[in-house]
Amino acid sequence: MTGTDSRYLCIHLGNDEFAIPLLLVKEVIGLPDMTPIPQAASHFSGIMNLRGKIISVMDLRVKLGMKGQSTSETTVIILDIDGHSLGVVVDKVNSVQVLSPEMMSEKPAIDSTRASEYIQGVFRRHDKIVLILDVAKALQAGKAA
Amino acid sequence: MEDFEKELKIGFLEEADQSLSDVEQCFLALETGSSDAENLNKIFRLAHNLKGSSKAVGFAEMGDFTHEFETFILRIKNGEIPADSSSVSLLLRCNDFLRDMVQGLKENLDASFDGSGLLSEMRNFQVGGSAETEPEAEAEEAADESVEPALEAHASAPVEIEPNLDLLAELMGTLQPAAAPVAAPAVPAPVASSAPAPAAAASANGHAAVVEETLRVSVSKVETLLNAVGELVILQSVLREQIASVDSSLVRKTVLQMGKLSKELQDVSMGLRMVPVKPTFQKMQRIVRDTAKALNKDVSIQLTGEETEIDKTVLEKINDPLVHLIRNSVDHGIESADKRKAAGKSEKGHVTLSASHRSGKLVIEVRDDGGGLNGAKLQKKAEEKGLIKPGLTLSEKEAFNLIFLPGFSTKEQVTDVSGRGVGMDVVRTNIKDLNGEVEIDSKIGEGTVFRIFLPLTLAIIDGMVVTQSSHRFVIPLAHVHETLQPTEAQLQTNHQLGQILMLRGENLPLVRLGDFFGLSAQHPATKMIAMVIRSGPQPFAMLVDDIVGQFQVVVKQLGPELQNYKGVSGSTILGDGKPALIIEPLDLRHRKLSLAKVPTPPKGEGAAA
Repeated sequence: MTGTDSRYLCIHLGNDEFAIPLLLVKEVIGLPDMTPIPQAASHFSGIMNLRGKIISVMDLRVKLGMKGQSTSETTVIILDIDGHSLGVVVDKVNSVQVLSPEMMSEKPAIDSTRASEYIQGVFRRHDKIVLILDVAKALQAGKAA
Repeated sequence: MEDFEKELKIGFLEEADQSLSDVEQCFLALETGSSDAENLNKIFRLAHNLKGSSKAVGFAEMGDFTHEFETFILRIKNGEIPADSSSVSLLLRCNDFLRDMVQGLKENLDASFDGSGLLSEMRNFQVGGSAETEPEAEAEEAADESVEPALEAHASAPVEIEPNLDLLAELMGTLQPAAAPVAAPAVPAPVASSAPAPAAAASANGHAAVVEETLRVSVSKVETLLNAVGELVILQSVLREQIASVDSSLVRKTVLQMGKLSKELQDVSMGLRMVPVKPTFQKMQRIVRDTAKALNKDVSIQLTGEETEIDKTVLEKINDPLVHLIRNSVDHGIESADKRKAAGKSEKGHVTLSASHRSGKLVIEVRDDGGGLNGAKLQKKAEEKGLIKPGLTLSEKEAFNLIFLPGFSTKEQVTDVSGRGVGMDVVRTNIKDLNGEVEIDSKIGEGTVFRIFLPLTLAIIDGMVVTQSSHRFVIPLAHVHETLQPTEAQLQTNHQLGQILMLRGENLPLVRLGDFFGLSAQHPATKMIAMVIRSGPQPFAMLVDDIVGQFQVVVKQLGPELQNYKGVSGSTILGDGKPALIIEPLDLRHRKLSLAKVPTPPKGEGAAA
């Protein structure tokens, strides 16, 4: 998924910072009006109108077991996943970061962490840990929904 | 195979496919006697183009075949062979063979074909006796050349043409597309080969005085445009709602003018998807001809309203049902010549295929002047086959509709043309899938009319926007038969069957939209609106909180994560820019049935799918 591009979009979900391969990101928009889908999984925020296209929006925070509370900084990033557009609600978009391989390190081997399967690796930024997120994997369960 | 070469071949096949269907009309016209030079020229040009291009891109078999084909056409053109039904039949068979070749090659670029039968038929085609000898010399020569396929077809072509100077001039034009890939193989191929093609096509249509220039645009581009325009219209309506609060009259005026413009823009861009039914109709001429021939009947077909436009996707999907109906008319509808004579009709049967717009729908009519349907006979047949219960009282229309039952076939003898008892039910299913309807009108001894009603487009539907527990949903209007607010007296709750709506002597099962989607806050049924749905096999009523209104909505696909979401056929964007789900009412009914059958609550429905 990461390809040869080493640029990442850093986002906040709750208090944690994550990085998403920039090439997956098509655009970043404010929190749109969404139409909820009855009986959908809890992380399925609804469908939105993106310039005439209907796009499903998932709440990554809920998906990763956090609380989904929206603030003025809450944003939707539109991702291209296998050729389909998908919106993802995140708490905050921080910056674009170029990561060289030496900056990255293996994720701490804690098997019990429930999110560990979505985490490709970690790196440090401003003395804080940033998790590299495999969005497609993180949303896999969402796809089945 | 190199990519470049592959692209070249695929490009050629696309083009060949197009020109073959363009030219089929000319073959048929030949037979009906209008063997004017223009028709022959068109066919000749096609053969010549194909010959050149196919050799250039490396389809040698096709090149050899078209060479022979060209020679044969030239003989007709020069009057050595009359354009009668036997020669036209051969031409048509060659045309079919070429199409098969193109189709086969599309699937497998290395496919091989055996056209030797047709080749020798063309070579040995004899005119009645063989009285005329003088123009034969040349033809013989041409034929001799082609006996050895190794002989370069390219080189021989100009020799044949030489006597016809005017033809030569024409060929100058048509040779170009063929020559381009040869001359400049290093140039990006698709550009080189496709650019001159529209020009050639335009000149082929040249005999019509006014030639409208056309442009081929990919469907995805049109879709993108439609999306953008749709969004524009929505923004415009938002803007319009705001103008009351604006003081400047200039702003207000401009917004209103923009509104008109965006409406026009929407109409025009919607129109881009619309194509005339002509090509599909013309294919039907061929079907009638072949079917009639196979059955030894004399049947003519008349087309009207070929210019009527319809959404491209609808047109593509109506092709198969139409073929069935047309075959059916020729086979079952039109009687044998003897029978027709005995009934005092002309021996030649007539089938009319017409298209027209009627109240926002496209109506396609297949009319024959054959024997007509016998309602009583149909009913008896259906009873014999166990398709319906014996002793039912059916109206004439209901009896006619029996032919749409699966497994129904009226003719005693099964022919290879029709009569296998598949088909008519498929026809109806296909039409229903398009949100269309089909009805039958028939009079014994006078003929039968099949009338197909189709929506002009699948991209826009008339929908009823309803609310349910503060959600908004769109119900396609085609499904809604009537709406009413049920009274206490009309409602019955039955422990076995659930809630029932008694409507004018009918007992309709009542489904709550809110229940289906697991939405809470339900009102009593008397405070809600019941929508009677009759589009499915069994009528039922659906309860919703309220009706907002009736709108035309643009149908949008849902993402893959919602594709299997039951009860929903798509989504749309409402006037305020917010998305809403489009309900598939028949899904609700299925759910209702399964609930009725299985007393235990269904599992695994908490998730969206």
